Amino acid sequence: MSRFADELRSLVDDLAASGRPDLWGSLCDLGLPRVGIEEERGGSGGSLDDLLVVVESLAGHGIGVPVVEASTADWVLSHARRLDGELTTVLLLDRAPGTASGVITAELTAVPWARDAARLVLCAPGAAPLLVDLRHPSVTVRDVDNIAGEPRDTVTLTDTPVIVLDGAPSHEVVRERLALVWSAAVLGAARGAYRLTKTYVSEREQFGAPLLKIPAVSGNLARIRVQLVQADAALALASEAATLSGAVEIARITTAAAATEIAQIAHQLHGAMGITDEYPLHRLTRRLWSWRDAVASERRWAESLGRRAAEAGESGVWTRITATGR
Amino acid sequence: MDHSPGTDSCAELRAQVRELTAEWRDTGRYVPRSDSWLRSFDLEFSKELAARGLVAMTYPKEFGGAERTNVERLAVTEELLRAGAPVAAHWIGDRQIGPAVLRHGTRELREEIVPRIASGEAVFCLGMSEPEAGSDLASVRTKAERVEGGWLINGHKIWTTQAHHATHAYLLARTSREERKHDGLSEFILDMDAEGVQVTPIVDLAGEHHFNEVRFENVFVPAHRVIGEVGKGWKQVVEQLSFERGGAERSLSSYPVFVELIAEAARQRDDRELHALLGSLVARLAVLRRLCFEVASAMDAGQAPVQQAAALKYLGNAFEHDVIEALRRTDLCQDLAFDSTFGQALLASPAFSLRGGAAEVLLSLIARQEARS
Repeated sequence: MSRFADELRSLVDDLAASGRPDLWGSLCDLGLPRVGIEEERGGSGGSLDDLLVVVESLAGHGIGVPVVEASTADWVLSHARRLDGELTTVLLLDRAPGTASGVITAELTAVPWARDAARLVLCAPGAAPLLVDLRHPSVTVRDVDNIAGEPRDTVTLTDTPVIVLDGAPSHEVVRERLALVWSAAVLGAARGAYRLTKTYVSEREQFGAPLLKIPAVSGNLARIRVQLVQADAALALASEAATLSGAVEIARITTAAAATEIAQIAHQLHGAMGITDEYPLHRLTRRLWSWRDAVASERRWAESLGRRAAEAGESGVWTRITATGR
Repeated sequence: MDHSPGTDSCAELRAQVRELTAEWRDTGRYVPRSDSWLRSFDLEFSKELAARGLVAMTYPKEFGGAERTNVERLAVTEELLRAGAPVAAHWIGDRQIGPAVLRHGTRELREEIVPRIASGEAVFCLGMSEPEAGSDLASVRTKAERVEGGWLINGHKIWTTQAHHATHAYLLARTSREERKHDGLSEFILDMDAEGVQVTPIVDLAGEHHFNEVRFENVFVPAHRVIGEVGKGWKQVVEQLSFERGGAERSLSSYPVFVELIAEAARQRDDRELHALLGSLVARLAVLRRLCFEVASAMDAGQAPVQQAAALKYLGNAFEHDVIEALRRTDLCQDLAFDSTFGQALLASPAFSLRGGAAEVLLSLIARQEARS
């Protein structure tokens, strides 16, 4: 667990409450997206756990900033070069693009924040990550938003020059880190939805008393709490695990399932108020829906965890499960 | 790598349990089964565990315990449940009555009762539930009246697991009528062979006899058999419930079915849906295990994690049910023989989310905490 958790949380809370127009700029000035990267490489120092706290706290406010993508891309980039002030984003590919003579031609979909980013880190299995200059004249970016209203653009590369990031982490390692950071983001948004819901049912009165007095309402709020307890435990497991393998799948599956149930209950308890543009619930639930399956769907994580469990057999599964959290 | 104290000792303890259960299983001294912590009664096995220091693990040495941590105890209970071992004879005494007496009992009571739990001699049943009370413990009606040298008990308990084997009963009784029904309750220990105790079997839907009704007619209990303060039993019971709810037995009752599910998923290499189902169950079990660990750690820190234990039991029971349902995705569910793994677990399953507080009650407990926080 992060030693600076409380400090980081209150820092993020203060920023979120300040209502600054350029929140991302302020976050970058404070070096928050570069927590968990060594200072010698241009990072802010601290551990991955610290970064998870930052991501979770930001997500809890329903704030749309490219913190997951930028922190991961910078971390990859920091293995190959010293970081500068530019925004870099990241995309995982299923298979390596052809990079004959140092150029690449491809159409990339759902590239997060491409319209705002200066560079893109591309990670594919079996190859070193590639760095693309998104401001190169051969690059075109078409704006596409996901259901949370966040940029997931289409990027067309035509004989675009790429740099091979030798010494950077492999696709698999980047994928796991990205998945873990997304898990923290989902947990944060889920916690935000819980807080909002709890406040609403405590303050809104019907039938002469706060909604919370209705047993069905308080029971549903308890179900949200139970989901948060699970998601917390899954994140704790993943951040303490000696190797992320398996633990990340567990975190992903658990937070995704929690996101699904919490979004559903939060809307139910808010009644029609929760589906208005004006009320902030949708900033959290739309993100829960788009983030829960980021990197890979809950179903895919479950399938791969299950396949490995079947291969390991009961004894392998048991040893793995009981080895954690001692 | 984790080098915190306890890691190595946990591994050793696990190995010790595995060796013992393998030996007993291989020589046919027990057959692994679902829900073994309630259904599989073998006093000899419990005594064997006790002789090896695997019962009363967290109790002080002066009362026959091993002075180990709750985290170490968790390692042992997990391995026993995994093996489906016959542990019902000592489970309840070890899990909650020993700790309750150690926390609140007088010196005399501790000396009398605790070493006998530790040696496997004292077999406990829980006199909590009553016919009209259900999960509402505070509406207990069984009465204890003060008489010379002790108390006279009159009342009726139900769903008393293993009462027919028990040497002792823990009993929650009303010692006075107060305005708040949570007040005026007291905890007692009584001998099951005392005059006026009558045990009647209740056969369950699997045709098995674990439950009983127990009637108390003018049963005398000596004064020193009160646990803690007269009339303040409620607070003590609530604490006790975190021992009752927060253990690994709340997730592993249907573990033998889970074992079959893993094996079947290995055979059905191309069944991606089955793999996905197994994967989500593995994730849930890993998280439950983590929560068990957190509850055990909290107990080691001297806390009674009532809410966490309630959440754990709620989630654990849902997992136990879903494991059984998952097997229905395979052809293994065709084996509905009474003694099949699937059949046995299915027939045991309705009890999972009832005992120790119904699911809805646990939710309302968590909800009350939410309203306060």
